[in-house]
This record gives sequence, C-alpha cells and structure tokens, in this order.
Amino acid sequence: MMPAVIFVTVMVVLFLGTFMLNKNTPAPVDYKISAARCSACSHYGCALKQEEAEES
Amino acid sequence: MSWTVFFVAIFSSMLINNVVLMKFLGVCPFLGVSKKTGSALGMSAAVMFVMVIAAFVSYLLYYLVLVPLEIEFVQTISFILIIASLVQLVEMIIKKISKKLYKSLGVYIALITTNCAILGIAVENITRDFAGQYGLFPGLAVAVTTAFGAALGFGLVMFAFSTIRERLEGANVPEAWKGVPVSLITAGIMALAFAGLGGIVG
Repeated sequence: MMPAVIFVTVMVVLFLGTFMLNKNTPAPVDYKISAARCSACSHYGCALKQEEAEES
Repeated sequence: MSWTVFFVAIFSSMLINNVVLMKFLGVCPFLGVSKKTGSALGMSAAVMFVMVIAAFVSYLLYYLVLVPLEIEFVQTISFILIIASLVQLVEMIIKKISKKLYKSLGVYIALITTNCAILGIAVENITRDFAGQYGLFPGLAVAVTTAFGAALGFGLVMFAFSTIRERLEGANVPEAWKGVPVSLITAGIMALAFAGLGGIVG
C-alpha cells in the first residue's frame, strides 16, 4: 500500500508543478482568443465559458 | 511482427472502433466544439497531439513503474494525473516554442484535460495487453499506432460532423428540432453508418 501512496503523491506533486510552471509561463505577447472561435465552442470544461456564465 | 499489424491497428481504431461513434468517448468536445469546421479541426489537431504522447507515456508508466511495484490498481488515477500533467507541459512548451502553433491550438489544449477519449485509449492500450502479445517495445509501437488511429478517427468524425452542422444552420429544420436535437439525430445516424463497418477486420 505504501508504494501506491508515495506514487500517487509524486504524481499529484508532478501535476501541481507542471500546472504552476504553465501558469507562470506568459502567453505570446499579441495572443488574443478569437471571439468568433470562442463562440463556436460550447465545451463545458472551458474556464472562459464558466466565467462568462457566472458573469451573465 | 509484420506491417499488417500497424495497418490493422490504424484502420480498426480509426473507422471500425471509432472512439466517438462506436465507443462514445470524447462526446463532449464532439458536440461542444463542432459548430464550425475551423474549431473542429483545431480541437482534432490538439487531441491528436496529446493522445499520441499520452498513449506513449501511460504505456511506459504502466509497464516500467506500476507493474514492477505491483501497484496496478492505481492505474486510472495515475493516468488521469499523467494526462493532466502532460496537457500542462505541452501547453507550456507550445507557448515557448511556437507562437503560431499556440495561436491555432492554444484554446483547445486546456480542454483536453477533460477529454475522456485520451484516458479511454490509454486504458484500452493496457487492457488489450499489447505487451503480452508482441513484447514490451513492439507493443509500445502498436499502442502508439492505435492511439494515432483513434486520433485520426476523432478528427474524421469531428470534421464530418462540423461540416454537416454548418449546412444544417442554413437548412429548413422544424422549429422544435433546431440546434441540439437535430445535431444529436445526425450524430446517431453517423454512428449507425460507422456500425456498418463492423466486422471488416476479423
């Protein structure tokens, strides 16, 4: 059981590490999400859509 | 191991066991990101990118870490975490190395974390025991080929479905059927068409 707990902990730490690294990596300077492409998507997992829903 | 194995792996995972229409995995992006052909192709490219890498990494993780440690029961949670980490890593690398690629795939990469088709293919590669059938590394090649075929199949149905939905927007559809209902009926008919391919490879 112990190796499983250690392994899962390592995986969680790995995920958190990559998440933080990605969050701290700036997007290209002139990058802007195209409104037309965004409106063509109704994916429920998208954070932008969730923010939109909360605002409205 | 002959080249036929790879051909069958691609053909079967792309058309006969299509990930969306036969296994009903990845239905969320199939319905959510198929309103416009451009978006559908962007999502398909991002899925292909991540699905192949995820199949490669999860296969090695299972046989080189989980099996020797005898902790195969954490397979699902470890695959979920490895896919989530991969998505973050791929997004970060794309941000750094290619502005053009990030512009075309950036919106979709983050959504892939919630795409069950990626996890489904990673788990299926283990369930089908390619390592037992072909050996560890030849099995890895078959697993990656299967993932590539599945991603091609995902792209194919996304493209076909998005073109149909674009045409449906201008079609004379009864009021009650407009939007999601007619899209679901279309998806059902497409699934029936794909079911007709079953049994081609014995």
